[in-house]
Order: sequence, then structure tokens, then C-alpha cells
Amino acid sequence: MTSKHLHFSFEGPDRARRAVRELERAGVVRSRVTVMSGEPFLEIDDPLAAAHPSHIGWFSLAGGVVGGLAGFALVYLSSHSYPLVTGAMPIVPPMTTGIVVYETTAIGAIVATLLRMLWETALPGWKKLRSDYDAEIEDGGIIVSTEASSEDENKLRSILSAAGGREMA
Amino acid sequence: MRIVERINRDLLKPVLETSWRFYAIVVVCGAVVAWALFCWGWQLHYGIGVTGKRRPEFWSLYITNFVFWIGISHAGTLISAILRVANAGWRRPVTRCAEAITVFALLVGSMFPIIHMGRAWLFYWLVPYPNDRMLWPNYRSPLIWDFFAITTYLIGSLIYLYLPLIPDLALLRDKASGWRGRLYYILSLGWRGTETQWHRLEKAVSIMAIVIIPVAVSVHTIVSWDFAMTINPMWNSTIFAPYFVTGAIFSGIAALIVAMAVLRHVLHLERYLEEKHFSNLALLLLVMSLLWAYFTFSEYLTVWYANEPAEMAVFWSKVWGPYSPLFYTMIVCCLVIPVPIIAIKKTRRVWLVAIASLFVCAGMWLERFLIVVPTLGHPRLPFNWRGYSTTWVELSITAGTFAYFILLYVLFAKLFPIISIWELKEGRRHEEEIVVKSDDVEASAFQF
Repeated sequence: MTSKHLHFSFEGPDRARRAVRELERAGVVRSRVTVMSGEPFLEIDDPLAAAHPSHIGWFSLAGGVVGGLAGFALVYLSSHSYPLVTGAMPIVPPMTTGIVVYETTAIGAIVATLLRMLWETALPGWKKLRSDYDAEIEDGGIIVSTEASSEDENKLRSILSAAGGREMA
Repeated sequence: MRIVERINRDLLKPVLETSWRFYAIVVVCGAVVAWALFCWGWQLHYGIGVTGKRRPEFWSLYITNFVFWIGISHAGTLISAILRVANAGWRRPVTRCAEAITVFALLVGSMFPIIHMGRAWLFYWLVPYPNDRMLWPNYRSPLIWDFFAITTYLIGSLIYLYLPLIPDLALLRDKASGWRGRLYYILSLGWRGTETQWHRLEKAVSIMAIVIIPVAVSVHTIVSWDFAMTINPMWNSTIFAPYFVTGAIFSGIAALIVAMAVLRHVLHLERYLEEKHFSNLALLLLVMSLLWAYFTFSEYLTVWYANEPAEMAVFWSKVWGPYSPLFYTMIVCCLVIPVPIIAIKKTRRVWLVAIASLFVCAGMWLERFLIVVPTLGHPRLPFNWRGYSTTWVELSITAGTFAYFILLYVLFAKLFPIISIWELKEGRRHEEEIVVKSDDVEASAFQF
């Protein structure tokens, strides 16, 4: 059984949202419907976000912990690697070490946020740009695309057309 | 014409079309930068003695510039992050102008420790790594904290600038051709604007905004500790950290207003950078001006009241001595001129606020100078006192870094949209929805 990508362009989020709902009603799994736009439309995104929650927050936290531990390890291990005479003063003073750890915690969280975001958005991803994208979104269009088997193709096409979509080549 | 197309046209025009003004700015700033590079070469060849740095004035104009530029960097990421976290709708046209200032001010500011130390080829000694005897840097020194803080802030600010830029890079990728098209193709990472991508981007930017605020505060706090951790007169102060952070935000907002006013005029962005944006930022500037005045008064009052001889020597040099003209100019620039202009509603106009902000920038540069130089000129042992005089080399390099900053900013505005296009579209749509909803409410109330 062969499958085909259907791309329909919609004007405005209301029509696009209606199209997504109709597709779901017709039995298309939400994760197989892609909505592309030139600006975020959270009213369309929300159901998907609920089904596939982001883990960026947890990764930021973990990145912060790793960064903080790495900062502490850097200060502790490097300070102890040389027998410096400190006149009974601590070699690794908590307050000054805390400043370095504070900064490395932040950099760990920042880098982890970036990496996780790229992972969850499948970026960089130039390949898909060629197969599944249309620059029309940049002028305000909203593209709803879905994969349809040869059996469902006509049915889904008529659903998307009825919702106000215009099929794209 | 639809609103989306109009926004695209207006905001992509400065990127895709080039006027003679762009080339004029590049040539003038490039010439000043080239002169500054020559002067730096002169300094490298003849040694640090060509500057005005003499015993005991070992920190002078370069460290003044370092503190000033790091302060200016607080314009962007910090203000943008606070406005994002507070979900202030009017932030949308402002954020990218601000974030770009942060990145370029940090780049310029972080050059100064390298220029200042003379033997620039040993710059890597600033980086925490073991030397030939396997001795690591002293983590108890505020100078190494500077390295960590500024590096973190620079990386964080770059990412914070880049993330919301990705959708606009995708827009440019679809509109531009030639080498620019290829550049945007690579930088946009294959962004398609799917709902998952939008959702994750907004999530990541929100988290970044929260993380970057304490980092920004820590940066100028640590810069203040470069001074406050010493026992020098008028440096060893417990309020130096909040005083520096306040001054940084103050000068940062002023720099942002100046940049926005110039962009508005040159790129014809009157429709996007509206009076209300300047008015809101001016009110923030007013608050910071009064806060800065309060800290300055507290700082000087406690020194005067304690009447400790070493502290008083520095105090009098600023208030009545050789540095007093600069001190009173600073007060005029940071308080006397901007406060009435901003406080009176009638004078809170774009160009007047921009002029007031220009005075604030000048005043804050003087403030940094007055923190750095008089204290070093008046150490605790009076035989060592000395006045400071600058040289053409220092002044040229200082002028060169201002030109370098302008050049970087102009090139950025030429290559990338200086206003976040997608955020603006999103904001306009929200405004339209609010109008439609309020119309509905009015209609239903009428029916009732």
C-alpha cells in the first residue's frame, strides 16, 4: 500500500484548527498531522503539546546540576593538584567557590536547554525542508499536511478541502 | 495589503535593500577602527608606557571602558528577559534591538582586559588552565570570577539572541538569494515552523529568560567585586554590587533608547518603534536614574560622615579637587538633564528622550572613570599620590571601540531583521483578537 503526503494551505488559524479536528474525527492520529506556520498558533498546538509534553525544563535542571558539579570539580581538583601553602586558610573556600559554581551551573542549564530544544525540534533538519515544506507560510498561510494511504487519500482530501483548504502541488 | 505582508515588507526592506547610509557608516566607523588598530599596534610595539598608566594609576581608561561596556551590555538580555518573563506585550519590537546590544557590548568590553594587560599575546593566561608548573589560577580572585561570569553571559546572550532569530532566518532563507540565501539556509537549521518547533522554541526561550536574569545580575556584581574586594579607599564598599548593577541597567536602558531612536529614524521604523515604546523605556530610565542617585548619595554620605582620612582624600578629589568638574558633569548628565525631560509628559518625546539618554551614557562613562581613577591616584600612603593624564593612544583606542560597536551593530542590522518579525506578527494578532473579543462583549451586552 503506497502513501502520499497531502499539503493544504489555509488562511487563518480557525480554518486550520477545524481541518485538524476533522482529520482527527476521521481517525487520523494527531501525531501524523503536521501544522506549519510563520508564527506560533498556540490554540492549534496545545492538544499536541499535551500529548507530547516537552522535557526541556528537566534537561535544563539536569544541565544545571551537571554544570555546577563540573565547576566544583574544576575548582576542587585543580586547587588540590598543587601543594600551595595557604597559611591555614581553606584551599577551597565555600564562598568564592560558590561564585564559580554559580556561573557553571548557569552555563550548564543554558547549554542543556539549547541542546534539548534542538533535539525535540529535530534541528538541524535540512532534509525535511526539501520534502515537507512550503514557503507560503511566510506570507501568512498555514499549511496542514498529513500522510494518507491510497485508500484514504480522496476522503482526507475532501475533508481538508471542505475545511477551507487549498491543495498545494 | 495584509498585515503579515506589510510587516514582512517593512522589516525585510532594511535587510534586503542597501542605501548609501550603510556604506557611509561602514566607511567612517571602519576608518576609526583601523586607526584604533594602528594605535594598539603602536602600544604593542612600544610597550604599555605609551598609555597614561603610571604608578599608582595602573587601572585607567581601559578598565573604565571595560566596566562601561559590561554595564551597557545589561541593556539587552536582562531587559528583554525581564519583559519576557513579565509577558509585557510592548516588548516585542524592542527585544532584538536590546539583545544585540548585549552581545556586541560584551564583545567590545571583553577586549579591554586583553588590551589593558599590554602583552596581548598572553591573553590565554586569563583562561583557567594550568601553567608550566601545573599551577592553576587562583579561584579566590575576582578576576577569575570575571572570566566565568562574562563567558557565561556571552554564551547565554548569544544563544538567547539566536533562538528567537531562527524563525526570522527561515523567513529570510525563503526571500533572499545568492550567498545570503545560503547563509540563512545554514543558520535557520532547516526550520519549518511546525507546531512542535514553535512550542519547543517558546519553551526554550522562556527557560532561557529565567536563567539569564541571575547571570546578568551576577556579571556586574562580579565586576563591582573587582574593586570592592580590595581595601582601597572608596572601593571597599558593601553596596558596590547593587550600585554597579543599578548603574549598568541605567546606562543599558539609555544605550537601548539611543539605538532604537537611531534605527527608527534611519530605517523608517516609526510604525513599529512607536512613541509608547520610548515612553515606557523612558519611565524605566527615570526609575533607574533616581535609584542611581540614591545609591550615589548613600555611598558619598557614608564616606563623608565617617571622615576617615584615606577615604576623604579620594572623596575631596572628586567633590572639590581635580576631578570635581567631571563629578558635577556626571551629576548633570545622569540626573539634572534626564529627570525633568522624562518626568514631564510633554517633553517625553522620542528625540528628547534620546538626547537625555545620550547624556546618561556620557554621564555613566564618567561615573566609571570616577570610580576607577581617583581611588588609585590616592592610595593610603600620600607620598604615592599622583594625578592621571591620558594619552592619544588610550583615547584613540577608546574611540575605536565605540566605532567598532557601532560597526558591529550596523552589520547585524544589515544582515538580520533588527525587530523580531514573528513576535511582532504574533503580537499584532493578539491585539486584533482582543479587539474582536471586546467587540463581541459589547455586542452581547447590547443584545442583553
